[in-house]
Amino acid sequence: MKNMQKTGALFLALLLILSLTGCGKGGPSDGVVRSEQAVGNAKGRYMEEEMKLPEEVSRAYRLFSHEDGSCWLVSAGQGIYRSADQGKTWELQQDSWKDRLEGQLWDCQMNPDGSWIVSIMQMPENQEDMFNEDVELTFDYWFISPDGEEKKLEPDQHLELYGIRFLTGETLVGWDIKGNVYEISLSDGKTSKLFETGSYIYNMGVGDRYLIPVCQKYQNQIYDVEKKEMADPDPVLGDFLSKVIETEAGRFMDGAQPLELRQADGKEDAWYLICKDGLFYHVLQGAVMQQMINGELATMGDPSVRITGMLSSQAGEENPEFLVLYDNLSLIRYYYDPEIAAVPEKELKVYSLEENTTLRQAASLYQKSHPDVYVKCETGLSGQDGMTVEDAVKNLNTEIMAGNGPDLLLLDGLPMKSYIEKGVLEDLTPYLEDGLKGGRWFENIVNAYAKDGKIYAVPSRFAIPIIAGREEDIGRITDLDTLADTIERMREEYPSGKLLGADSEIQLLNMLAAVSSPAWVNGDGTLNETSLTQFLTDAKRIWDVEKTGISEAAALTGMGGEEGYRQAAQQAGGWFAGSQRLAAGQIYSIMLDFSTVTSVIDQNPGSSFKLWEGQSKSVFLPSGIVGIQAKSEEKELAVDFFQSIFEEEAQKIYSDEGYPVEKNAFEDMLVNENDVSFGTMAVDTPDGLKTLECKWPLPEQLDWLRETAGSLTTPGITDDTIQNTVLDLAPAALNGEKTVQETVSEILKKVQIYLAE
Amino acid sequence: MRNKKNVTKPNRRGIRAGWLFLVPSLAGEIIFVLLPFLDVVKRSFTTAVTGQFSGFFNYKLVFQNEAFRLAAGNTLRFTAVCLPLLIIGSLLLAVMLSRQKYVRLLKSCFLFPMAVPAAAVALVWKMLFARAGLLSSALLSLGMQPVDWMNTGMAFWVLVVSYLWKNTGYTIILWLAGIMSIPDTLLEAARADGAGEWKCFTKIMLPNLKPMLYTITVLSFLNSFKVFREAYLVAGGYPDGSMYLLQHLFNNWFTNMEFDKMAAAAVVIAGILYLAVTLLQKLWEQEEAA
Repeated sequence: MKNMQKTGALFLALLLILSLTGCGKGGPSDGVVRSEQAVGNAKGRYMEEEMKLPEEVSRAYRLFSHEDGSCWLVSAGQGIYRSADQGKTWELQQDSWKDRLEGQLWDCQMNPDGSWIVSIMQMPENQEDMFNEDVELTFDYWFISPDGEEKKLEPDQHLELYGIRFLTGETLVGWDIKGNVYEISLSDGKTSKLFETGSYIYNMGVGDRYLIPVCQKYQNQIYDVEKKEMADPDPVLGDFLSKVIETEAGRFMDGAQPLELRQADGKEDAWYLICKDGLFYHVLQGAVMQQMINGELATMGDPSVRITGMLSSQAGEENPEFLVLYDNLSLIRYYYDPEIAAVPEKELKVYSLEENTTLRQAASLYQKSHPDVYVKCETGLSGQDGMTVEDAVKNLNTEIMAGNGPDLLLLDGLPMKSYIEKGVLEDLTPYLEDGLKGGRWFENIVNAYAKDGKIYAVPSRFAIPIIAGREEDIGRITDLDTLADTIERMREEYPSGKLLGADSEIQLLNMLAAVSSPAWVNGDGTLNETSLTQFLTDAKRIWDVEKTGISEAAALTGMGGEEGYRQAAQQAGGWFAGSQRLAAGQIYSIMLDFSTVTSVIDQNPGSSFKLWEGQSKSVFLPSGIVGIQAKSEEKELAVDFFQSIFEEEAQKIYSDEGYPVEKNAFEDMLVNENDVSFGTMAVDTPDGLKTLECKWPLPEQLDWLRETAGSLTTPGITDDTIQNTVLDLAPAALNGEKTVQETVSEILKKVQIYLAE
Repeated sequence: MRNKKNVTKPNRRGIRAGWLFLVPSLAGEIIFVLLPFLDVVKRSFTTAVTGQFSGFFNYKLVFQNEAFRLAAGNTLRFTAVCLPLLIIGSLLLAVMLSRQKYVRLLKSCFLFPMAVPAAAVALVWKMLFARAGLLSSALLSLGMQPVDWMNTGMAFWVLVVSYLWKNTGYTIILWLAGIMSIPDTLLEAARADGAGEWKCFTKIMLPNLKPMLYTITVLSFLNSFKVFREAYLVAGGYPDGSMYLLQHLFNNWFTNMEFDKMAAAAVVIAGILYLAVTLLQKLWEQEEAA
């Protein structure tokens, strides 16, 4: 019996040990071996070196390697360049096919022997036809031999190839918009369909033996060119690509290339893959994706850049060098440094509730100049799980209280008021003093959250609310009340259609709250009942008029998108299309926002724009609000990074999250070195497509922007809880479910509990 | 002497064994309950983040806090209304069901409300109790005005009904277990002596169900805190004032980092609960002795 007990105990102990082993680091559960895992604590890491592109290049397009070891760069505007020293110097190729072929360059590839395949789109005579689905686009395909001889290809089928590559020296592979993949003979144009993916192909890895399509509805397909059949799917690569496609769907749809696949030199089943997570090596049917470069420590992790080309060199070596071209005109050489620590010695934890491009850009820039620092960006809401804002905030609070909190916080959406009151945030005044004295920043924005002479939180960007329309209408609007009067008056003139462009009560309330919410809160933090009642009364007046112009279909589908209606540019598009009469919203940048509004005004004589003022005056919308945790263990580093965010260099990086608070960066943004007219935009109207010529704003318009930016005094976001309570309950007042007074008293009851807490 | 040795030795061993059995749960209690609670007590006398000593300032803030008074009042009211309704209602149902032949087969059905996920219950609440929900539609069809159940004083009663719906079945099962354990011979003997059903219930059943009453009271009280999940999912952190419970307040304080006030309030509530349980226990012991 005793023996049996002992055996039983031993068995149970063994079972326990085995189960514990299962929980340990047995192997990568996601099939990814991280670079720091791979090397343990040893030394050795890929480092970045910025190479120089030719100065005149304004748009780098593609990067290729020649069998003689040289690199070739295709610039969309300037021409073709060759570099014999891995990107250190460049030489323009005179009289290249780029200068000779007429039409819009659509796609091209250079074979290692120096021959080219080029796809040229012939522009339709009428520019508007570019956007017309019924008009077929015409593509010409050219083969250019290594000695420069051009030969037009005539495929035996009519093909609109969206991508074309060399498959072998004799054949090409191309794919159309529907995801059909073809093989085309270079000698006689004979075309045969290889396979179909069933959806739009974003990109294709073309190797000596395998084709790996990366498409919208990813199906983990690999085509074996040698056997002329589909090869076995690769589960590890498939899972990895699926995740990248899922998380980067938005960027793929923008036409960007968030990933690039390239066969490792001379190894038909070994591939390199580069995406924002880093650079990976994978052997087909292998068990892991080996991370060679961690995206968080390199430029590829910067959300604002897109990869346009990648080359690898030193075939056969364990740590080859890479040359990666990004769309922000940076060409970066990645080389392995065996002496540097595998993981940076210092770590700075940065937290934001949601993914923030400005912060990522700043982190990427900071890491470039501080290779010994790892800026770890943590996001509370990944979007991949069901976590709510409140859950994320609670988790953050727990971390802060446990002493594991982040060093630097992006306070957008966080309980900033509580953090200031509780002493979570460091007083930033000493770190801003010199800059403020020297007038480096917009003092009105930087001081937005100053309290008792101390600054605990500083917005790094800001948006400006503007309203545009006919001069006579705009002239009458001075506040929310006069906006309601004007809307009522305009309805008499325009009996149908939208006026302000809101499709639902909540959209309208959000639009109006942006320029009114600061007025709802008194100086002592209590709710201003009179102001709130007036807000709901005016909002109801506007909605009563607005809803009569909304089609049932639009009301049901809530057209305009979740967030798009906040942007003045989108509203201006609606105004240009004739679907609304005013454009009111925020401007976040010159290129995409302000210029759209001014371009519409330019094409609508008698129209104008001005700062949009609701119940509150001189409102701006702060974003990227930065604070340092008072108990940060890396205070010095946190301060250094904080200051770098407000440096001219970081502020100059393009962001669609608002205007920079640094004055030189702001001024730099107002300078246009290119043509005044920078493109056209097709707008769908009931009468067909209408083209808007996009022009750089006039000097006086830029002066207005500069002056206005310096005069704004009221941050639009004051108290999230109060604003959310109002926006939750107010639709009932607008749609008549409740009276304004009932709604106000309901809001008051709830807010009083919040204030009493 | 020999006899004494023989008697005491096993007792000592028994005591040691008793302690050994007690150690795991006691250790768990100390590590996961007592020590954290001591930390809470300590925090109730300091500021939230900086940890500076603040004396009774946090307690003063809590007692002056209108939200705390509202939440405590609502929680007390909720418990005072729900517990008697649940305990008495489920007892009566259990007595009636105990006479049914197939009650054993029905037992699992009684647990069904407890198996429904909180998120699903919240969805049903929304469908039923929204201003444009099913109940209001029914009222409209009867020519009455629709009611915004969740944003008026009715919200409290919605909470009560939800609690009763979820817990009645489970409490019935507990009562049934107590009723089934009463020997039939006792009841049969009473009936043979001429006792009616009411007498059997008051003189035999109720006294025998007293131990069960203590368990049910404690469990029902603990379960009353769980109704917060549904309430939170339906109405968020700031519901109608009538259903604003202590859990709402603690939840919001946590989000806003009011750990100092939270600690003081927790100590106050723990003190009150301790007093209540001690009082209940004393009364119980007195009854037992009698």
